[in-house]
Amino acid sequence: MNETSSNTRFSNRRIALALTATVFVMFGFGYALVPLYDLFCEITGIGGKPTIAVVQSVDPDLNIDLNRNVWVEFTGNTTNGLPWKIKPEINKTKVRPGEIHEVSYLVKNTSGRDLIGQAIPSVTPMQAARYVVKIDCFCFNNQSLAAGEEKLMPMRFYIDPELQMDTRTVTLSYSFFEVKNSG
Amino acid sequence: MSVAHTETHDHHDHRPSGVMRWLTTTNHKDIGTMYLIFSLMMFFVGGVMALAIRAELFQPGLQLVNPELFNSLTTMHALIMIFGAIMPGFVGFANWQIPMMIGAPDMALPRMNNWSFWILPFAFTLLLGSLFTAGGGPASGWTLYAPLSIQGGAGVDMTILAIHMMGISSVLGAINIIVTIMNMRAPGMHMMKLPLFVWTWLITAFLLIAAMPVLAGAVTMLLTDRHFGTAFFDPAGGGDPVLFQHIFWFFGHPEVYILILPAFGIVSQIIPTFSRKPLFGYDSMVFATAGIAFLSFIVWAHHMFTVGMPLAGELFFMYATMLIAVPTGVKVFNWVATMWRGSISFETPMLFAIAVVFLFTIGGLSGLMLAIVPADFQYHDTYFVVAHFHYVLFSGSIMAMMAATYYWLPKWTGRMYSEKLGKTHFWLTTIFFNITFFPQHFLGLAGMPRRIPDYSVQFSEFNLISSLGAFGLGLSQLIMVYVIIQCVRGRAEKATDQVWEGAEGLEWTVASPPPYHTFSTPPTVR
Repeated sequence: MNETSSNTRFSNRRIALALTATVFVMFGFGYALVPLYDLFCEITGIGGKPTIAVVQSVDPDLNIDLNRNVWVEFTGNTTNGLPWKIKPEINKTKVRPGEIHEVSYLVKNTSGRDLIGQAIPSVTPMQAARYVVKIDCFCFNNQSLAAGEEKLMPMRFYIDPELQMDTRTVTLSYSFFEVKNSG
Repeated sequence: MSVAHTETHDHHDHRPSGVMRWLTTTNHKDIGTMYLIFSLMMFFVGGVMALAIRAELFQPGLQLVNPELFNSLTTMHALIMIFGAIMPGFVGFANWQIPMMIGAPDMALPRMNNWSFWILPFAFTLLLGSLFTAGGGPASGWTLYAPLSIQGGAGVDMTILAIHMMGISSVLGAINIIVTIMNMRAPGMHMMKLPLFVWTWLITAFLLIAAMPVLAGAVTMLLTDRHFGTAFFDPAGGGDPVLFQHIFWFFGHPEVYILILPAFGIVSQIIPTFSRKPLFGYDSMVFATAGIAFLSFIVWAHHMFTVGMPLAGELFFMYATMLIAVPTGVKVFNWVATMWRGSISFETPMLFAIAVVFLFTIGGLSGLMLAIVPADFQYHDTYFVVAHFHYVLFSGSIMAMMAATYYWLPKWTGRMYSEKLGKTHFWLTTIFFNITFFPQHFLGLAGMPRRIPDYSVQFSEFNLISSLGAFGLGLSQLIMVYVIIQCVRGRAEKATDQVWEGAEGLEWTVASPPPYHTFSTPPTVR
């Protein structure tokens, strides 16, 4: 064993250190995949994540496509046992791409506790997700409801006229989750 | 012979005896032996779980295990076979063989070598211990998909920590192997003269270093999602469960090549020996291995075609996956071309090696079927997938390790195993393997889902055949244990130094069994 010269030992250690560094870089890469993945989904609009474009002023040149109508359906639910009831004012509406619409959800806290919730939007078919543009939405912020409180939560949106011609119906869904670390 | 013996005797004096010898050893042969024994033990632990699964599936309906335990058993069977049997098994062969094949006195970092082994028993104690916790063991499948794995009890946390430990162990092993191969070669042992087993392990080690830390990251995210309020995969906080699948399979696909490349190396050593011809297309073998390793990083999403990817994504991953057939085809061609017009003899290692080539190719073909996106929507999560990966992992990796055991055991123990028992083991294994897994193709095509403890009565016959095969397969493995014990205890004929008539390479120039320290002065390679 003493035959391994000190030169080799030094060089062994150097390669081992370089490889160890690679291990840490790859561990970091695993975490880097998280924002990369979100970025990728946002750019391509896949994964059902709608464009959350906080549009300050609506483009006045936005063409309204008078040649077709798109049905927009609304639905909502709560998860993980959040004791809220969520119901859209209307179940569906016919819109022309480019027209701005406002729809409200009636949300009620059925429990005896004050709770904070966050709505996560999702669009099907997922190819349409990037064309559902929200101008203002209750899902942009946490929403708090006191015990037994009922609130009308509005959202304003339009359908981008670039939406695929064969898409006749778009479903917009909100899932409310409880925000726990509110303190 | 006598010179070697006195030298051995010298070193014996510095070596603690009993348990301390094994706890403190830094000798690559000792550590290799421990890895191999550990691997064999885990093979039986995981095998017993597989038999429990097959016993439950012997008939439709719920008989022996409750569904929760069934889920734990499928999860544990996979984790144990992958991380406990196959990976440590190959590291064991690497420890024994790489220094002897490249003419090095030992591994480059012997102390680290000891650590990387001794982490494993603790990791698997933790993993197996999770079965006895309140919530039971992990039951989400070995892929640990979120959000299912975010639920579950303390057993899931124990599994996560066990995976961290296994990861550290295999990364340390991989670093050691790379340093050894890059730095410890005997004079004249150029890179393009390395035996193919060494080459495949070098590339495997790089895959380990690139992929295992990503798994560590994924399970760390799971752990923080479970307990520390992060929301990587929990939609409640804006996370995304599909993200877990992407990160997991970014590790998972290189992992499946980690499990098979050393097997390719073993087959590439054995076939030339028993064909009495040099390996056909050595250079192309090296490049094909590197090509497979590269492709393994860009095909991960073929495991998740049904999550709802855009068409462009599905097409990319489909074509990239099919591309893997090219370097793999090169390898299969080269093995067959090596045998072509060789003077072949069919000793047990050769029989196993030929079976690996034949059966792995069947597994590769079903892999190509799974790669076709529209077809995959039908096959996804059915027994067809189970059949596919057992053809590549059992008749690929595990049977290659059996081949290697018969091939190198006479060198390590100095005793030639009983050829009659070896061949019996081979035929029973091959026949029972096919009885077990071939019908699962049909079950999958007919739509039987995997990981479910019950099934529709239309699947009864094939499940019955498969379960009978599984018990035969499991029992046949006892023959191998008997053969190994006979050799280790010296109850068999003596083996010559070269062992096999057609064997070439440095490891066959040392005595059988090799002295405790080999190549203390480096040999010169012409």
